[in-house]
Amino acid sequence: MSFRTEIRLSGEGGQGLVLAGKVLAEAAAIYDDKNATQSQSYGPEARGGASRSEVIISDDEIDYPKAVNLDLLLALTQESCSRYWKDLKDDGILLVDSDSVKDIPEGSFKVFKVPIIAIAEQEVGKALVANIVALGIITGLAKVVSEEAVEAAILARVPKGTEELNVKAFKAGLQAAKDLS
Amino acid sequence: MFDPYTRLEARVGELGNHHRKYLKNISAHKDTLIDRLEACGKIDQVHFRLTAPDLASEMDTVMAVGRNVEEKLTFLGCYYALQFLNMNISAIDVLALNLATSDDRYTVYKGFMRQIGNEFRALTACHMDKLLNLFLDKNGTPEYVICGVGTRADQDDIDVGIIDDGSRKRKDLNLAVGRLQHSMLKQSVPLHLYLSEHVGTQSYSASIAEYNDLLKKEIQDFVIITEMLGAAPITGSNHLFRKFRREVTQRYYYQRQGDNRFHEGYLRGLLGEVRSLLIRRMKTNSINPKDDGLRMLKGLLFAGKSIFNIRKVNAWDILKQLGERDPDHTEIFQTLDRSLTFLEMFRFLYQLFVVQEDEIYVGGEDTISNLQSVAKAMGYQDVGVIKAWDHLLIHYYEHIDGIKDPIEILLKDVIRHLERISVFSVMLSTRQLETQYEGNLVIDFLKASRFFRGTKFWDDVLGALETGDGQLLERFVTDFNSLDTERRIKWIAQYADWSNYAFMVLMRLLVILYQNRKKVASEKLFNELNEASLEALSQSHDVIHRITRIFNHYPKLVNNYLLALSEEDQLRFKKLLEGNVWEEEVAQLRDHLVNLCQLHCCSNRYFKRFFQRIINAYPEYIQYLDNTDRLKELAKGLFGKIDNLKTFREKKDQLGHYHDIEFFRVGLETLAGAPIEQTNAEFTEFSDNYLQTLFDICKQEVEQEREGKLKTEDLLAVFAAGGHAREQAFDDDYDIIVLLNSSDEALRKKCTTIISKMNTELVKRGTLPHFRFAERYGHYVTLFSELEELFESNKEDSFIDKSQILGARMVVGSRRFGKAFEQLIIQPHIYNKKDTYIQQMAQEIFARHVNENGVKEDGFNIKENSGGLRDIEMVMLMYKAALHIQTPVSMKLFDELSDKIPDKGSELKRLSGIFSFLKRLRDIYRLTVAAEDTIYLQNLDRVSPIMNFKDSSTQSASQQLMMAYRENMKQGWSLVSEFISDIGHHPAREIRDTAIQENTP
Repeated sequence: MSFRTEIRLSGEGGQGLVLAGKVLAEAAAIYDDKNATQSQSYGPEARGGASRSEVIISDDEIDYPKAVNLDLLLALTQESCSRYWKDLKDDGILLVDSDSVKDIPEGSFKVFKVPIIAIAEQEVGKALVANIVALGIITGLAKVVSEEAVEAAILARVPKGTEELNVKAFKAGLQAAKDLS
Repeated sequence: MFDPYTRLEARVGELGNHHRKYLKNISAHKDTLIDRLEACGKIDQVHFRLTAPDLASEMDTVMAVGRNVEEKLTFLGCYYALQFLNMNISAIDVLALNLATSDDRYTVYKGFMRQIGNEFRALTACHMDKLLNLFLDKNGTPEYVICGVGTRADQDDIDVGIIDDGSRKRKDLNLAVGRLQHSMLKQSVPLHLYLSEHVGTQSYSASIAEYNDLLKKEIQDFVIITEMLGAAPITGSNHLFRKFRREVTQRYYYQRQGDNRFHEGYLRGLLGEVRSLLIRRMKTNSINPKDDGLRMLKGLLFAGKSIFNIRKVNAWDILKQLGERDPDHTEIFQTLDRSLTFLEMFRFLYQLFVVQEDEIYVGGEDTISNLQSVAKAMGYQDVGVIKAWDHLLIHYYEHIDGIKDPIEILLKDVIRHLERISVFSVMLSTRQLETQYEGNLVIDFLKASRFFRGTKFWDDVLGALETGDGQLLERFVTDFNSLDTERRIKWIAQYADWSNYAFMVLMRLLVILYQNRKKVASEKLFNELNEASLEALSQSHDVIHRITRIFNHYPKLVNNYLLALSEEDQLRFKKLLEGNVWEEEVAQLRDHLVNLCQLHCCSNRYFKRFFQRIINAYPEYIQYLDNTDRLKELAKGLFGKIDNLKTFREKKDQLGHYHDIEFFRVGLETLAGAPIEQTNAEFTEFSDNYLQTLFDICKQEVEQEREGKLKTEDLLAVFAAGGHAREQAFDDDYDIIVLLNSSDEALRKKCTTIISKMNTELVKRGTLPHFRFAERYGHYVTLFSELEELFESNKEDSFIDKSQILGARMVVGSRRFGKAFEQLIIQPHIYNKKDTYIQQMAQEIFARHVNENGVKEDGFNIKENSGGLRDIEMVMLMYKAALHIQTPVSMKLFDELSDKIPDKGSELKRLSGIFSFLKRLRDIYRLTVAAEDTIYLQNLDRVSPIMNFKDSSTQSASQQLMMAYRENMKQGWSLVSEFISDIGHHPAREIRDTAIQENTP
């Protein structure tokens, strides 16, 4: 049976969520040979503080590019959680940064609270790679893209000289996902 | 044999990591493709190592050798990857050559950007065309056109809009675009379908009717409109594209006759962003060519495009045409052209060599090494210790800075155009308001503005309310007041709703209403609207971002808004800023704003007066509320620049700003709990600096007016008396004594002119100067002979004047003058008659307390009550006279006295501690509560935390402070009495009894 997984990465500008979305889409399409589309907040919305990136991954053709029924929502801020949680499927996954999102909405979806930004800061050494830590956790939780594909896609997207740091961040995220289960 | 692929791989290694996906594709499929082409005898028809002269034909050839659709796609992707990499490598090689052989770097950059843009567009258009041919069912295809709507050279994604004919065949097109999107994500550059995402209904494409429907509602989305106005067909039906332009985009161009609401809405959206970006502060740890410069530059170009009906879509072409239509601004357009070229070039090469991101973090070895590659590609070289990337960044900042003035000039032109064509022009014109307009301004304005909902530029409307004779604002308030209660509540709620999408506009309206509350009786409306706005804000999303963004761009506006709020509302507003924020810049802004709120909540009008003047003159200084060192540097800078200013007016204004900033700075330090010794010393330093410099400027001005030098050095002196003489901070008046050691009336007149000019400036600072002896003699300047005459008269109250003189501190004047002053005035009239002076002073101390009915429970005078500051100061003056000490009454005097009378050292230390405590309490009370000397228990809640008093289980911090205060006064009085006995050689009781006897009616 074919699947269609809709993932929304949300938070603030500067958190690298657009890049994370691109990495995830390319991991699925290029390295795992799946179908994928990626879109991002744009226009006046993106020129505010909010940032949103959506990835749809499927093993079939994707006839509609917009994510409306989310399988996974990553929220790095309270604002983004409050704004988007209603788009989650009943059995979807809500992944939040536990230090930033305190007010967790109630629903039948699963909630995972992880100190994503703190992991990036303390375990990896740079808050800027919180997006990659989050990618690691999503890879571990959603299991729609392989770890190898995401790692390869990360290496093909990040600036030269930062590869090691980003891989470390990704692995820290994978470990955090394992700790959740 | 040397493998060309290895060479290509090596060259691609110079570029960013995102090129790896192309290498992966080539590596996986090139051998099969070559084998297949060779087998078919077509290898000579395809270019692998060079860019192809005929892309379409070569792509057909490559696809033709695929045995099935999957193979065709694979070969096409592989061929695309080779062509794409060859194109980029060849382009940078040609760029290097051209830079080496040309003197004009900018012409080379522009040529490069145009060339690479065209080549990339040709390659991707051809690729898309071939893919669609493969995916589309020839019979089931609707009429469609795919338009490029972004910057042609951008390789991170291709912004496209897809228009179809709305027929049922759309489903097939949609399926094909889905496949196209997937193939491109995998093999080339992904498509970004922002237009379709917003317009389409569950599909990648949208019909003209759907665009029309959406755009009727989404006027605020100037980004969509800009994309549509910049659209150029990539593949598909030109006929449909022309129809799209006619029926959809035409409305955004200015029409001499006809409905310009869409054009107006577009301009309001664009201008809102351009203006915000124009005053945006650059980040300190990163640069962003789009946010720092390109967006505002292009925004303004598109405003011009829509005004002048320019159909070109390329930014350089639009600039050229704007230059032709507006020859007065040729130079401006040339400046913008160079900056556009530089910024586009820098951004493109950064994305090519480093990463496809817009934010460039400056700092760290990897960033520097990456920037160095970009700089070298742009033709910069290392020169000595200055690296190529240093040069590049310097030029970057120069361009960002250099485009602001030209953009501001053009922005004004666009605003004038907007004012002319606006649907609000009838409502906003006072003349037309009287004769042609009969509606309710409140309702009609909001109804008309709904069309522009979400746009952020309302300066023209708010400006009209703010300026002129207030007629428009009065009409607005009157029309509000004419509504019955129910409708009033309804319309207030509708205006408050603006806080959800344009809070800045609402904030400015609130400030206008508050500032004109007396003129147009708008206080009630302000209160109601503000209440509704704060309520609406507390319910909405992204409040911290929205408020900090306004604060970042309009600190003065936010400050004025805070000034309009009650303390309770200031705290409510402050509460809205609570919560986690990620972005460092936002967090920093939030902290600054919280500091500002704190300052508003905890300071009184006296302090706010200075603070307000600074914010009005230098709104950007708000960011230094928590950095008094920086404020000190800024003040020093302002002070240093005084000499460079041309006119005396400019010099005096600059000096005034220096004074205000320093006053403000020392005030902030006091509020932050700095020790009294530090704040007093710093206050005295700047205050003396101010007075000395003011004297110099005014003297020079008088000399220039009288065309001759004034020789006042040894004859004229300015003394600080009272609190300033005692080196005490935050006195709200300035006691000054001006003395002239000469009887030359002409000289006195000239000196009076100088002091008169000084007086004018001192008054402006809000510190009222009191010229001692001036009232007695009718001159600012008192002669030595007048003082001698006064003291020889031996009047009963002459000890008061003597105290002024004894306590005075020379601020302007020579040492020679000081010596003459001591010999001719102090020595004969005070030191030589000290017994009388001391006795009079002692009696005065007791006499002042005869009618004092003990200490009141809730409030008493820190200066005048027993044991207060006045008593201590008088005792110190008595010691000065007794021991012939010149040091002013300050902490230094206590130390000096301890040396001279060591057996009183411990008492003096205690008294100095009490003096210090009382002065600190008084200073903080003056800054946070009121500039008065009566201290009330109920006001101490602002003071106690600053003085480190904390609530205990039995007493509040304020109560504890009050107790400490009373205890200090009590002990102070006990010590004062003891010292009086000591200096006067009589028991204090005896002196007190005499005083009581003489002062009891």
